[in-house]
Amino acid sequence: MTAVRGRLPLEGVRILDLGQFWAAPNAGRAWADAGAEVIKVESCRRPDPLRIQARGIYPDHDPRGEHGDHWNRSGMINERNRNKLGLTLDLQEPRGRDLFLRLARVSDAVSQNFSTGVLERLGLGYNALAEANPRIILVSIMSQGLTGPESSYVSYGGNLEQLGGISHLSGYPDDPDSSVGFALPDPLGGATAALALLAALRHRDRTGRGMEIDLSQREAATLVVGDSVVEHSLTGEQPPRIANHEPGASPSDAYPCAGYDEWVTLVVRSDADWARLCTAIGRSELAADPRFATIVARRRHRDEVDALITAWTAQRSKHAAMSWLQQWGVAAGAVLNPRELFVDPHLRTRGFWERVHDPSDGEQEYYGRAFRFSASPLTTRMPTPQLGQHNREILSGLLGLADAEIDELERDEVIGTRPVLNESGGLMVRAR
Amino acid sequence: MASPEALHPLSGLRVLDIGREVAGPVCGRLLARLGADVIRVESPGTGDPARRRGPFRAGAAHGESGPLHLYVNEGKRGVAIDLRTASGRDLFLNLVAKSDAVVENFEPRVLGKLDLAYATLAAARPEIVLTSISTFGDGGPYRDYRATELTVFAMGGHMYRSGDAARQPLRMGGWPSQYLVALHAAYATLVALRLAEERGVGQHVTLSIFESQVTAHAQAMVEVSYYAEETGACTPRGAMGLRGVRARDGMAMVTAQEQQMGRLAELVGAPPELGRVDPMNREGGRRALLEHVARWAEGHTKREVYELGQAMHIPASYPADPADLLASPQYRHRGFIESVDHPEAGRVAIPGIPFRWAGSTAPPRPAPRLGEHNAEVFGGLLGLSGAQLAQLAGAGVIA
Repeated sequence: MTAVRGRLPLEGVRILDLGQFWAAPNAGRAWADAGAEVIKVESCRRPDPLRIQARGIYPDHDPRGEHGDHWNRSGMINERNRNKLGLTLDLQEPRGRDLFLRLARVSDAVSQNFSTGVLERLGLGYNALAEANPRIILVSIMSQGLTGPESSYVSYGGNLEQLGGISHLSGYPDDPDSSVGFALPDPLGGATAALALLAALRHRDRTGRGMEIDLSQREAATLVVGDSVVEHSLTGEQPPRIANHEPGASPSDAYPCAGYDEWVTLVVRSDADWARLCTAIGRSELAADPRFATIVARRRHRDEVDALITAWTAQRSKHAAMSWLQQWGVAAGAVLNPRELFVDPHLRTRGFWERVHDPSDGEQEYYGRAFRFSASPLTTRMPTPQLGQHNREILSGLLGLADAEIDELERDEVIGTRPVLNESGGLMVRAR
Repeated sequence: MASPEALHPLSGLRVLDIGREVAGPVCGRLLARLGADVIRVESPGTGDPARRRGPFRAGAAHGESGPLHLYVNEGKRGVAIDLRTASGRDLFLNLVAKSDAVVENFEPRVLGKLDLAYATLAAARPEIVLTSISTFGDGGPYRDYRATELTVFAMGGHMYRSGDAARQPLRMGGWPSQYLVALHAAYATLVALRLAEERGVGQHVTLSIFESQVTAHAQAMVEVSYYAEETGACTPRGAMGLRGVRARDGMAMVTAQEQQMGRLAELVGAPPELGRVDPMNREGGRRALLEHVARWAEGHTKREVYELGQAMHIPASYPADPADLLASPQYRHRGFIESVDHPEAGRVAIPGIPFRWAGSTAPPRPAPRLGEHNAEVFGGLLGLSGAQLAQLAGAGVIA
């Protein structure tokens, strides 16, 4: 374990993380990174589906590896569950449910993103948890929330972008069918859940009462375009799609660079910006040209402006264009792809990537965090747990079970370290 | 009315929001709605640029009723202080001494230039949490790069595959990178405040919008690490693009995984064999089914496509516009869209906080007018007399 200066902020907080896929495990990772004891609870009959993806990401493209434990080798699982402990419990089995409730008695929170109604059907809804521990906080990260006429609708990140109002604003103005999306409601949902729990913990510590947090990822999507809702409520108009144009700026777009499908974006927010851009591209005489002197004029002569800029960018690599324009104080950013981000000098200099020794995947690098704390630096203290890795430690350490009792649970498949899959390698229970 | 104090999770915490435009103020708004006393600090005279960003309601005051300002500054009190003056800086440090956190999103060197860096704030109050959001963080080769939503969205790795292969790459609409980092910032602020309240330890929390964007990839960052030695192309642009179907009143989306195709065929009245996956002709079968979907959709509204598809457990959707969001039965049921009465802008619909909980979210309150709470804050909180306030106002330090 890496030594840390002082205490981690969330030390002493214990969270049972039933999360699967993306949004809820991300919230669990945010808490675990900050020092909470986060126990990732899975069932061998129903592990996190990312453990057994047919088209997953595995070292050397080899799911089975040396030990055949493909469920521990999925890169997707190992990216978002670091710093957590791993426990398996068959929650459909009475003993598994009972053990979960006993753990809830000694925990601060439970986090989950099953489909609506699943937790209740397992007998582990908020009422059952609160009966076991009135101080417990249940964080339910749902597509559209626990209540309302659309709460049981099926979704994934992409259609919540649609329903939340992001897609309406995103796309080519002349092509209404086009759309931009990358399932943002999942990371948004995870970040919102992380925040909500911290607030609820403070409330609980002051009042002694836990609560249920009923989070809607669709609402989280609307949160990020809320100003368009306010705008519509003020004017009655629909905010237009503006593609790469930023309000109050011109030009503002992506321009082609040397190479195949390489681009640099730049944004000119003032006439002074424009003068700097003209100098940067060796055309300082254009700064005073009345065709381009004001934002309105540049918009009117947009094709000419674009041609002037493209003539310059097309002869340079996107990195060279970005760096040169920035030297002249022009807001410019290369359109980077993931491979370029992985070797990006800025991110490397800042130590954004963390090398982790994963017991099944060997040395891998995962990204760090969006936030850094000066008094309590956050690190990857433990890699993602293997399925059921800490069963014994948790059941004996937290619940005082004897070795023989744990052996029996193992024999009866209430706990385990291997998934119980159907004949075609899939889940025994439908995924979602 | 119940007593507002102690009801809300963050009651008793005071946050100074000196942010600009989007990211910092959004972080402040989240903390305000969870119950913190958030004081928005702006420059006298014009205030934050978000105030003047339109469009505006006809006849409404332009410095007070920009939609972005009304949204991101809702729930806060507002003061105006010129931090560039010595007495403005002193006044601000007196506020810091009575606060728990400061949130800012200036470029990294700005606070230092104002002589308000973390060490200075900590001298005024050792337990203070300073949360700094910047595009690239407080170090590294890009630290001083100028940036906008477009340029950081481009750099964050989501743009290269957004849009059509034959056209230029596209950014997402709005300010998604600013809002995402604001959520991270609000979380990180509460984490640091927990340590401050429990152990009296203050600290400087820093966030990078660029890094926050990189953490929002579903799997690309795993692929590049696990397959780092490979040089093949990343997912090409357009490959992930969702194409819609045309409903009677706009676009709608019907997507189906293979196990859902039978139900989809039934929904749109296609021959049942099109709902069965033909392993020899996966794509052809899918295309034939999608043609039926397109014809079916033309006879329905976008909401009908959504409702009828969902009734068959198919993840149908449609790109909701703001009017759709205001009319959404789901949002109405959950009371997600709230309404505030603003003295200049009138009644405004405003999305609330994206979760329901045990009745303790702070009620909405309109964004403050510039300097609206000067007397309340400088008099009530710092104990300045009317004469002192008048003197500061006369000198242009507050307004």
